[in-house]
Amino acid sequence: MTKFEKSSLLLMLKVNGEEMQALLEGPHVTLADVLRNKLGLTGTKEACRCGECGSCTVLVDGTPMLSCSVLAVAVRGKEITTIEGLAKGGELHPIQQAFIDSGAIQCGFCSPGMILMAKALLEENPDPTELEIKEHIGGNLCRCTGYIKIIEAIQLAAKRMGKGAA
Amino acid sequence: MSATYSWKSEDARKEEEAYRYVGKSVPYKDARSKATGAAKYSVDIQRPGAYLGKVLECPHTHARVRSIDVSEARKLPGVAAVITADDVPDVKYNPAGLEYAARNAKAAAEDSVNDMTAVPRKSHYKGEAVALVAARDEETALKALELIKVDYEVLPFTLDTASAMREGAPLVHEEAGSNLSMIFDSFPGNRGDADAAFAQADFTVEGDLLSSRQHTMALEPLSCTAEFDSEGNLTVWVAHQRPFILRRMVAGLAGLPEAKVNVVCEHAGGFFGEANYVIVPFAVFLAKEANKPVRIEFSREELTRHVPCREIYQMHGKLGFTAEGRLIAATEDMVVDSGAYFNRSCNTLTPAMGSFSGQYALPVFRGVGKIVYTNTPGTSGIRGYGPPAGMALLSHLMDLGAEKLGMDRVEFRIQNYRFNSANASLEKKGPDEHEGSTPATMGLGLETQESVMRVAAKQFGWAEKSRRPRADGKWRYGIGVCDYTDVSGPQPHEMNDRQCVMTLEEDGSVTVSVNYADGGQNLLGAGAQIAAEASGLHYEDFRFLHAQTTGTLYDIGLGGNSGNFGMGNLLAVAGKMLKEEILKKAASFMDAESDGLDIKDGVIFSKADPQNTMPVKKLAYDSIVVQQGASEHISVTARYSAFYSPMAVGVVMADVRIDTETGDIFVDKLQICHDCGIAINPMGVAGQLQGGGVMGYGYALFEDLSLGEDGSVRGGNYNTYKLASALDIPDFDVIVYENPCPYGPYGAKGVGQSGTVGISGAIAGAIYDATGVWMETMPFTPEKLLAAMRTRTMKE
Repeated sequence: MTKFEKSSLLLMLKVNGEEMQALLEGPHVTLADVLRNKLGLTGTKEACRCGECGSCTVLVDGTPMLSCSVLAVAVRGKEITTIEGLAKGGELHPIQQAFIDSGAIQCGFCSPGMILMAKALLEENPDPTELEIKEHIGGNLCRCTGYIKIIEAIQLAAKRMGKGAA
Repeated sequence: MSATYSWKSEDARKEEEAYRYVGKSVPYKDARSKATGAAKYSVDIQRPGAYLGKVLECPHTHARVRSIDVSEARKLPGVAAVITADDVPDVKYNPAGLEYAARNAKAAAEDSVNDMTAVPRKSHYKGEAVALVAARDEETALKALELIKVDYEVLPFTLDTASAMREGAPLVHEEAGSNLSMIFDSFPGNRGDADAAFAQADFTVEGDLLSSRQHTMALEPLSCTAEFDSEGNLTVWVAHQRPFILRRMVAGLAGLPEAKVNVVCEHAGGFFGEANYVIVPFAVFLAKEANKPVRIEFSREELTRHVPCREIYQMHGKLGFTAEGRLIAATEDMVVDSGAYFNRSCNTLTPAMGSFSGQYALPVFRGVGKIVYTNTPGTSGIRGYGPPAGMALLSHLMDLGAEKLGMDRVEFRIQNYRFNSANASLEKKGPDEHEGSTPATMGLGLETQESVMRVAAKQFGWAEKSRRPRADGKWRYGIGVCDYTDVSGPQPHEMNDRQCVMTLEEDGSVTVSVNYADGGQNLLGAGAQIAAEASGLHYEDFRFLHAQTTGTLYDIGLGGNSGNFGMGNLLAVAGKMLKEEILKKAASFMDAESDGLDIKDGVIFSKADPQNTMPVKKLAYDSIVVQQGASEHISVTARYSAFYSPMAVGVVMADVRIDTETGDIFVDKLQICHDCGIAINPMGVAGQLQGGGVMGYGYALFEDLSLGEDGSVRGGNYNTYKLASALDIPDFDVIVYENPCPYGPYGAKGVGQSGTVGISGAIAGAIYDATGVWMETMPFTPEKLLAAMRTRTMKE
């Protein structure tokens, strides 16, 4: 077993617009671990812990990252957005609303990652094709829905957000 | 592009016109909490002061623990408990047997084998737990595991059913005396003399199929937290489908009265088959010993080792026909690889044989299953629960029958339906009047089979595609059809009984206390639609207290399409009862007879004098707060016991393209047409069929938990176990077929698992149509197809 010196460190993170601090056992602690177990933000899910399923996706300065495969110390000073940070003042983000309206959420375990992936996609490409959507969420696994309603939800969100901007 | 279509019979149209909530695609009841990350799953439970549990896995495939020394581990600071077989009751049990015993002690004794212990004295498969620790953190727990010294007697092992049944094979369970744990020949649908019937047949067809190790691979990792309070009450947080069965198991193991155990699950990150019994005893015994809350979470790799995969069947099927192609006899011989434990082997065989024997008019059937232990991880029932592989084999045999006679595969099937337009007895019959009626082959619900098939064929363009050339350069094209039947709740149907308490609150909303673990099926939403329809209140009025056994009434749990049918029927009964109670109370306030009153959109009105109204909200408030004398919280306790389990029927069609140079199989179109009775929530029905269909697609083409030469799971994470991604799914059309079922809640039948059942058969049939190759082992991969095509070419 690997031996390592106990070297607790206090980490400051900016999560969902708030400065937060967490006491880590060492520099090896992942971002997912900090979010879920130190900050109580359990909306971020972990299903594989090896970067294969996409459940733990969060946005770091707007870019989707697998929080199970990112060290918390590596994102110091960056803006982290988790699923808890999407709704503003009780008002759901249009993507969240589209997922609900389309029946894209069954067990819901993949939903936080899927919704954040969709947000990153639509910010970059407001009117994606079906194939572009599939390629973008191709690394996020879902066992319940067969993806069809998730794709429909992202299309619906694109349509609604496009209208809002126009 | 995948599309969803709706087909409704005249009856369905008429009935749905009158409904305000049933038949509407309303958002799912708990979707908001899941979309915002607020929903709490078992894996999110963080109890203050909880210790972490870890498992010491045996490094051998089959080995007896000669001695185990845990003294050093116990001394390690930060370790609160170390447990071996010596520290748990020496009781053998079977979680599936407990389900049977819940209703039928005789069946439990005959059809179940008790062979599990909380912590075994030997490893029956590679990696089985031989000791447990609870420590304050992961580092300490892992250190403690290293300090445990085990002396193993390494035993020879057996990994497949053929070698396990050989004379002198290593015994997986010595006390059983044989690896053949049961010969199941008492399927209640066995009828007539098959050998005599085959002798009378003008022709017969035969075939084989070996199913694969499909794993549930639900996204939420399996975890359990157990905590005793100062009064000795135990709370267990774990994903579950059958809470009261689990409560009984835990109470039995821990030596507690049932009511001192509370099993909690608000949301589960997918079920697809009960799995928690492999982790719950660990957390409970560690929490008891440590006197602290203990949380265990399996890694994905641990999970695939310890959580059973789908039932594994080696099947041989034979059908006998008349010269005109009428089916007169069938046999299904199955060898079941149960893995290290018996578990649900018998439970899944009954529906497997039920589907095989109940699909067509069939006077003679014999099904026999040999259940065999091997030193491999366990098996269980997962989504589809028995039938999926058998339906693929049956479908292939029907294709062979049609091929012999040069008949169209669709028409050949239709002529063998119990009810078809050529058959004068098409009128709706009660269950007892059906030919060959037995609990497992009950023909209820099969009247729509021909219609479903014709709707499916028309939408798919079956006739046009049948005329298409089969070859074009390196490409081969083929289409396939698999019709299937599926239950609406388990059979025996007594396994689907439910109860709830429905209470009108002083604000006019309704609290329903009903045990239900949410795994994403939206049963609470569909239930609220049904209850709103039955009571005259609003969908939004219904709130559910569903997550724990304490405070809810005994419920058999979920499985085998039972949820919407059983719970839906329950909530229809409860909604109606609540309405009656409200109207009785209203009669005194409104100066009217209760039978002269009705409720619409939350307002009570007099049928004779529509101006005489009273909002339910006011009645509720006045009954509790305002009225003179004792407050009255209007509340009803409702019960529902399913006497029937009508068959849900469906047809899957597939259009495939094969690259003869590589063996690659492209599914250009997949279509499912499913008769769900009435769709309570059409969006939900389509979602279940899409999800189940894609799970079936993976089962057909690539999902298989690979085992090494020592029986160990290779990898076991999503990087080695392929799950369909958004890029892998085919164009998949869904036809929600509606025709009201007289026994369902507002005409609904089962749907949740049905999407999985017919996919393999349709894809395999299309591959056979394209290439003439029937692959005898699942999944149907390019490698196997290429090898089989080359063998054929060489023969030719």
